[in-house]
Amino acid sequence: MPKAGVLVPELFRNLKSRPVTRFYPFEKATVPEGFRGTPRFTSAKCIGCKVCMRDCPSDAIHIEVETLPPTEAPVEGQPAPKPRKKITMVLYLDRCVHCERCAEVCPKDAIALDTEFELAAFSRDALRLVQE
Amino acid sequence: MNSLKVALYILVFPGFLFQSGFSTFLEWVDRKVYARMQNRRGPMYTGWAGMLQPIADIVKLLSKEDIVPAAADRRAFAFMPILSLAAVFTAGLYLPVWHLRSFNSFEGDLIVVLYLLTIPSFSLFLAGWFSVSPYSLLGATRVLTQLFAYEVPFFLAILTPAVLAGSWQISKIAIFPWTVAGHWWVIPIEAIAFVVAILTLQAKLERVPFDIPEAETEVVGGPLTEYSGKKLAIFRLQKDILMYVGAALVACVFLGGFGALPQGGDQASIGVLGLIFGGYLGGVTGLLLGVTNLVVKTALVVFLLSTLRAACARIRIDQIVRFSWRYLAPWSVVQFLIVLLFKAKGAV
Repeated sequence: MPKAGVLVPELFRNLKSRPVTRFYPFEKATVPEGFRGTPRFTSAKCIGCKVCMRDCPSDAIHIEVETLPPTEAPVEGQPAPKPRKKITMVLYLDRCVHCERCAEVCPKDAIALDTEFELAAFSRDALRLVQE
Repeated sequence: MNSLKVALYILVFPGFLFQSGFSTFLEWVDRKVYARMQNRRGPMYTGWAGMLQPIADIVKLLSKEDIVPAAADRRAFAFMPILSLAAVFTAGLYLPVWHLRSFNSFEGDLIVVLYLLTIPSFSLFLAGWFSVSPYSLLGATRVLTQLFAYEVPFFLAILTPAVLAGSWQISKIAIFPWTVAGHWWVIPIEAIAFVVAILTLQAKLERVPFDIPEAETEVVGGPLTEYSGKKLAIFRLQKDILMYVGAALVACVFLGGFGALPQGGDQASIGVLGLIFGGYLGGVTGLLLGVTNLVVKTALVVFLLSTLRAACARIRIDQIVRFSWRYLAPWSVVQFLIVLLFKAKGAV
């Protein structure tokens, strides 16, 4: 036993240092920088190109583009007012793998991932997020 | 009246209730220290800083289903936990805990305690034997092999202070360093025996690095593989009390005890150091000092055991036999010779 007790200094150092275990469910856990949480959608920025929907590896995004009639009445001699679009993103959290691909491919930065990670739910319906 | 007193001694202090409670406290100390050394927190939620967790574990086990293997000897299987618990618990009754003048202490109780402390190992062996399962049998044979490795060094180490004190009575050995003023230096000259006693106590408790009989990666749970429910809970409690009795015995014979005078012992002959670091006083001050000494000294021994557990990995069965006979036994003999030398020179 040439090296008996080599660990002892380390053990006594550990005695003095703070424990690494956190009181997670009782204290809010901090997430590391660049953490990929839930995709959040900003409808106002979206142009409805559906790149995210096409690129999503787990087919978790569905973009619905609904064309609404323009609010203003058409005026003579002016170009016709653009029809409004109502864009909705349906996110299936049970399929989402939090890869951040949607946020990367979005040309208008309409999708960004937040830091929310406590996403467990009791029903599948609760995991279907409709974001407008 | 007298029998009532004895019943109280046996059931409450220093008997069953005290031993169960204090041993779970020591298990908490052990788990906490072990966890902190590994940068964990240890038990946290049951009681203050998880202090009641060992009790909660035992209560939970008591409520669990109790399964006896079909091939096992039912009666012997059920008897072994009780036998081992009774043995360690009886051994604990002979320890001089504060202010009792060790109600059943007599010349030679050290031998009785050492004998009683061997029974748990044997009952563990028999428990594995009667379980009739390959893992249990393997564990059981390892228990016996290990017993033959550590028992002799353990006895030699514990008997060294007895020879120094010239008595086989634990309480007399405990007060020996304090009886003559400036006599405390007999504690450091027993250092080798103390180290051997700690190492062999760890082997007796079957904890890392000497947890060969119940090496869970090799033989599942060793002799306790087939045990469950209440019987396993009793074995758990027995292990805790064994740790308390072992730690308190080591603290008594090596560290000056904790405030229990032997029968007919004279408080006047004890120096100031003994009153403080032994707690040999009457009244409330004595109670406080005695209890503090008990807690601090046993916790110190348990701390050393936990450090050993955290610092080492499990060794093989042949390694422990070789280590015991090649190092521990000769060290104890050398210590014995040192003590004899001191005795021969008339220094003690």
